[in-house]
Amino acid sequence: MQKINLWLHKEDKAKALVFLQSKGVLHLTEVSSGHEALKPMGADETGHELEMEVAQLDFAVNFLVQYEVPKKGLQAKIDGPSVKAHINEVEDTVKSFKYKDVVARCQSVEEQLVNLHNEQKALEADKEKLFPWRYLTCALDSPRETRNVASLFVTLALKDWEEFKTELVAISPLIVLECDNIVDIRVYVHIICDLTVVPDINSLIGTYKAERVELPEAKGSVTDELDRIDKRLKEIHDRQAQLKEAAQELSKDLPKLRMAYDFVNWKHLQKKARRKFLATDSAVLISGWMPKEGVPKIREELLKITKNFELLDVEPDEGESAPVLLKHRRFLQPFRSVTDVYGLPLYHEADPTPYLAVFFIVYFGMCLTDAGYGLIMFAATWAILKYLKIPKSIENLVRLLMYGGLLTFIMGILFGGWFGMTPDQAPGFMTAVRGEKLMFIGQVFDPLGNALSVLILSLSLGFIQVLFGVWLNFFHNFRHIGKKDALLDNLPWAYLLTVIGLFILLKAGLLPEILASAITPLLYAGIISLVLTQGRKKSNIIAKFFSGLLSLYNLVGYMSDVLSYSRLLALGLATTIIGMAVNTIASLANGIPYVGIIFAIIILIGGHIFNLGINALGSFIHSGRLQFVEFFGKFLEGGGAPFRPFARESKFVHLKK
Amino acid sequence: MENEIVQSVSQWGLALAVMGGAIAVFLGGIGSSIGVGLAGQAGAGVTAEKPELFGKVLVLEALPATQGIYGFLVGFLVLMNTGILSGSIEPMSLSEGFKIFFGCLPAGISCLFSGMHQGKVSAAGMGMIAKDGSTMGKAMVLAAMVETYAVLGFLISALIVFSI
Repeated sequence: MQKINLWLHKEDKAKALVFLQSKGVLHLTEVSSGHEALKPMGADETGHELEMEVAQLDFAVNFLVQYEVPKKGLQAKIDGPSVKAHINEVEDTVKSFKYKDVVARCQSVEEQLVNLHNEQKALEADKEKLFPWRYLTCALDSPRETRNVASLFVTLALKDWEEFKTELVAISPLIVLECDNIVDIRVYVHIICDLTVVPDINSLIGTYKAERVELPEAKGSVTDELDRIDKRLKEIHDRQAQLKEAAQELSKDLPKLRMAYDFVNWKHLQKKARRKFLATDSAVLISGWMPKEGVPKIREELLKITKNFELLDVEPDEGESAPVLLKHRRFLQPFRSVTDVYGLPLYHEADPTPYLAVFFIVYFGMCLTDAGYGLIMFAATWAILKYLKIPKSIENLVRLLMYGGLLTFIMGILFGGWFGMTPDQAPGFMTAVRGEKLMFIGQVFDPLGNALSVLILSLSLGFIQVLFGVWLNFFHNFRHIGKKDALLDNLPWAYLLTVIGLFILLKAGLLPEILASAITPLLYAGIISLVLTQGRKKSNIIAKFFSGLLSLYNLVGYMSDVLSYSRLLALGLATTIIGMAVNTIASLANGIPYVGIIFAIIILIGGHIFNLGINALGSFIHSGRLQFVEFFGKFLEGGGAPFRPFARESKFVHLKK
Repeated sequence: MENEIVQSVSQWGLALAVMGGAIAVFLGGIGSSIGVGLAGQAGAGVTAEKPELFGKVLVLEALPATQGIYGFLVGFLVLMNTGILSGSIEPMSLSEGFKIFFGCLPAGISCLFSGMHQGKVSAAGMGMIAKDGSTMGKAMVLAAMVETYAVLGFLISALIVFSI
């Protein structure tokens, strides 16, 4: 990464920005001004307008998506709303397409739909309210109160009705009851009375928990009003249908609208970028990070646009660290999905991707250890890559799973895993008698019969990876950080762990006994060198000694790291045993007369798919965890800021090159 | 008479073994039920706000489900290795029965607690992905840390039960 300062004449700024955005190579940073003539550019009027326009387009796209006719087929589902186009195509389309009109129409249609919806809700509420009163003969606009008489609409529970009526009539002879309609458990009654008794009636209403109803004022009788509401509801319904049709028609423009969204957003990003720039009256200063090898090329191409610029390599500010961009060979690309889960390394740290690749994929295979599952995974992911066009981001993961399937197949053969079958259940051509035992062809380990050998294998792999991590740390620090620090801090550990490895090999009888006299002193030498070096940063000699001695305690940490790899055995066993459980349950189901075979097949297919799914997930996570916790911890801190260049970031458009 | 007592002792061994298997299954089941329940509640909240995250929510919710499976597997191994599943039950001594019984406990108890707490971490992870969907991997790894101890418990239980 190289930090650069680009000075431009103000007139060329717009052209240069378009160029830089199209290249997508400059990670913009904010510049702090060192000179008073240099002032931050800030936002301008067009910037706000563009922001508004982006928001409107976003609204229109989201609105029309509801009315878009979904395309059929798997590929269409994967593509989703993305549009593939060349940049010129996008420009031409957006320029000839009056997207502002479409947005305006969308807004109008949406507004009408919302209003209609509100009106519909209100009408339906009225209808519900009026319906129990449909036998009322008087007009709704007849006065509710005259000088002497009041007209009340009351509803109460049916069980209170008789008592209520008796008490009501007892209040005064000047009370008339009309229209008592009963719906379900409620009575709806129209009371006409003298104005003076209204307070008495109100208190009676209170005692019986009845309710006074305010009927809407309208011309004609209740039935007339109900008819009118129904008519209007039908009109609304028809209008809604029309509007929806219009929206569907508009949704045919969605692909173009999406292009417009991205196109306008690019322009908006150009305007937004200026907030990071500094400017004088006539010049602009743009600052940012660029991959070192790309700088001369950018300079060359900028020359074609303008001669009035200066591109300078500069030193980063104090405490500023460069953004991180990882580059890999093609076959390592899929393993980025693993590194990305953890996050990026710091700028000065090593890229862990090439180092974890082999370990990750081998562990993945060991956690699954079923050749049958491996074949299925490999075939499925291979078919996806071959026959479907999938987005780049997912393609890496699918390719990784394809590698995983292949390794699972190999591991499955070595460990004798075939759909959870035991050798005596398998067809004859797959097995062979070895020694006194029936085993699968190609099987080396027997996890069910001799789990210890697999445990030792798992721990050995763990030891190798931990040791590898420690050596890696030493070499990286030696080359990039400081020779002295690396030699004193990191080398003793790398050395001691290596000797311990040799010592274990010796004790296991894998090395000739004759080396014992050589290895034991080396071991002591390692321990002494640790005591001597690890406390070197302490101030006095006693603190140095104890600090060095205490550092030996880290051995426990390394041991627990190695023991953590026993999960490889456990997860492998889990896959095998779930497979066996599925097979056993299926064979029990097979015992049911006539239909048993159908149940058995369903259980076999469903069970094995479930097993593959849940254990593939588990394998991925746990194999990843071994990288992140046990391996990365040895040489990596992580937390680097990703390289995010100023570019044509798009939501929908995939630009063709 | 004497013969019957000898017989019944062999039955006791088997009963202990089955009891061990049952304990492993239900403790693991309880742990996972609580864990998946916790994660599910949090996940429902996230899904209500952002329905497009449902796939990720589902995966995160499924993580504490493995403890129940480990418990189930230990129970299954007991049934298989005692011959109950195949119908050819062999008599088992009392000490043999105790061995299996205690052998089932590591899986059962570690799955109980690991499931509960993994559920909590998964539920907290839901908050992470609600804020930023790309932190999914990190949320999963955090949850997987808790699972380690269920894996270790299962490993020991499986090894003991296999040694019948």
